[in-house]
Amino acid sequence: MGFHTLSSPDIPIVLASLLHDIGKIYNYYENEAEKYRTKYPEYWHAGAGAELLKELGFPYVIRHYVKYSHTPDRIEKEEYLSLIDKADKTDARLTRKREKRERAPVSIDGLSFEEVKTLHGGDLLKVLRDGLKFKDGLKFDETTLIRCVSILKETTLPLRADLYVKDVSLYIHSLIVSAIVSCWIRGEDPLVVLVETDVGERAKFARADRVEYLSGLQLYAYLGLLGSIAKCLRAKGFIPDVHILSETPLHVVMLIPQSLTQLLKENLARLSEDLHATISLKIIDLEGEVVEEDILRPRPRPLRLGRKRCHFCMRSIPEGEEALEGDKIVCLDCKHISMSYRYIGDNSIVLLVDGVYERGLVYRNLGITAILGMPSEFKDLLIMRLLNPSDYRSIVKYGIVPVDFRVEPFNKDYKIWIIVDAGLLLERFLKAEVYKLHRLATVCSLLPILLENRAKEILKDVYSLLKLDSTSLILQTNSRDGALKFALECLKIGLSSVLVKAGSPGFTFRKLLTKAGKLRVEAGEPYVFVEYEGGVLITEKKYKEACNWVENLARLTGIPVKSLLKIAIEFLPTLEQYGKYEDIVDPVDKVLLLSELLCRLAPIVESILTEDLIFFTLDGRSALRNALFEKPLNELVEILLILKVLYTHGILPEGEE
Amino acid sequence: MTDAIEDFCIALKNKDFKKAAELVEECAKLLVEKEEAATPLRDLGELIKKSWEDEVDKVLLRSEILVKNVPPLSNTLAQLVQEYNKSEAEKLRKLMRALMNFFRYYSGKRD
Repeated sequence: MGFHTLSSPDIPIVLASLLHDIGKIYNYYENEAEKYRTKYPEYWHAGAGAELLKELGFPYVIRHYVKYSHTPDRIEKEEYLSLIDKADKTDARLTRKREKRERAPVSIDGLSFEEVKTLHGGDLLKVLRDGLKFKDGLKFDETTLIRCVSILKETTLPLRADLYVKDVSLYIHSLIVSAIVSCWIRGEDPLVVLVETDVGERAKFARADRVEYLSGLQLYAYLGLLGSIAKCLRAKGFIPDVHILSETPLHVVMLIPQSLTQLLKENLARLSEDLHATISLKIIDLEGEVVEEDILRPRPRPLRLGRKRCHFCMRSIPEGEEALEGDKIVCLDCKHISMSYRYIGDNSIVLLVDGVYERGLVYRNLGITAILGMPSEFKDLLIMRLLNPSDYRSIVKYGIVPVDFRVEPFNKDYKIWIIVDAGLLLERFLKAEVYKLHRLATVCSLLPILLENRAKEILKDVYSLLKLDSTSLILQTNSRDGALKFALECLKIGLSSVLVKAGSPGFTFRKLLTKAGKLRVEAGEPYVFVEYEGGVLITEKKYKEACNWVENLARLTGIPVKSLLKIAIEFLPTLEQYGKYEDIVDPVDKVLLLSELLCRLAPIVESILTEDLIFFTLDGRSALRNALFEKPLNELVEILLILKVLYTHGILPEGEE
Repeated sequence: MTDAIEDFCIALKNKDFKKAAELVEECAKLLVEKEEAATPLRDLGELIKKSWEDEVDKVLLRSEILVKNVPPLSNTLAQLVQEYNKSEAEKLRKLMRALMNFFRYYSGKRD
């Protein structure tokens, strides 16, 4: 393989750090776990891990490090071991405050022991055993390390690092420990860096006649991000795969040495020129404090009279840089972007290579190229990825870090667009008392997978994913009911959504990004905004309130939720029309208005209950009256508006669980 | 011990409209519980909408109210026709309308 990396003595300790908790996989095999718990009363998983590695043919030094990774004091003169132990405790035990610990035998995404599979559907232990068997003997080189990262990602990303702790992936924990050790061992201080590319501005020119452009843009941006990070880490001989904690098309979380942050910024600034897009980065220390935030903007390219304009980005094309895409004249950057879509396929191996090669996707300012091919062909390989593995066998076969890149082209027949925005959820994780970094990286890695699975479940195949990363998802569908149901499912886990009718593709894409960003600030809590329902804003709090209100009312009145919803919806225009009875001071006028409202409610109640064959008692009527008028009228109207939207989309509200 | 209907009547006699407004809904509910017929009540409501200017109007109205025989409401209203001035009569009309509305809601009867 053509990596330019140090074949350094550091590799065994970095490898051991990566594998130090491998024994925890037995948490998901109860019989094996029991056996090791008896054999190793203290830190059973360390002993179990060492035995598993022995079975796989790993050398003694790795097994030794793994076995004593949590008890370094038992071994004299073992500074490396104490590094693993110290890195292991970083982030997890920074504060004295402990979380409530409840053992829950499930994976991160809520599956039971029996249901848990690897990311691409394999049995955990089988994939681990097949993937970590080195036929020609294990060598302490980068190929081995990358294979271990790949197999660990496939098997342990969905698993909990600690059965008592939610939202912390075993894979992320292992990677964080190895990245920290990789920095410390060279005397470097590690920092967390979050990078996000904003393609909204570029996307606005994406038109229906070039449907691949936007997904191509995201792949181009993603590979560019990966390349600029890898190029930076390679400059000091670090192995990039150990330091990239989570990656999605427009978003990467990494842990890199402090001394490389300046170089990273320089690389990203060059990339922003290649993408002609803004890149923002946030640097956070290991205690979760934001150290630096920066936005890297490309230089504007002025419009020149007499020059041709690019068909895609509408900018003037510099002299000598005109290219053809089909019969359209485009600029060189857009040429590469429009070609990128062809790189998205199953089991594609994408190599990021230092230098400019004509046969690939070129990043002229950054000076790298993305090429489809085999790693052995290039000597200046920076990093590589296995795009969209068809199943776990591909990962076992290639030993290359897998990435599911599910962005698809526009479908002109799908009229509803949704953005699911994770901004507030990410902020919430950054404010967590413990495991901030673990949680942030876990959520960044797993959220896109969980969202895609949920979309598949609810929208079946009637959707097209236009953007999918840790910060947001944009999809198109034709199912209004499904769209709202999906948005409400997302709301339950703290994600916000905006639903709109499709307009021009590029502008709708951008409109969603802008609206979501604006509402994130204005609402201050997760929400669902349905623009085509008169702009109804359903915040997390109001949604719960509405669901609980109607469930409670159903219990008190004995009327089924569905019938109550019908009543509420028919009554809503009267309430809106009568307006603010709270403003009336005179008690006689006030009681008269209340009675008028009830008088108008009466025939609605009678007709719906007769239709639904429901007998209504006096107590039921009192309960209905109290529930309707215990709240200020404007709050009641808000609740009824939410229930109306739910009902008209065939969704029955569920109370708080 | 008095019930909500009697309390409502007392409040009206005392010209305590705030109290009467508080009691009117309970009063309607009690009338429903007592299975009071809707028609005489509705007639009472209609009668009280009429204006009474002179003594002849008053005596005619009182006689029409008393004949509806909804105790103790009929007696109370007949007495109030005699005692209330114009603005008080307006409040009474509103309260009776509220009573009818509440009765309509709680009885579930269309008329």
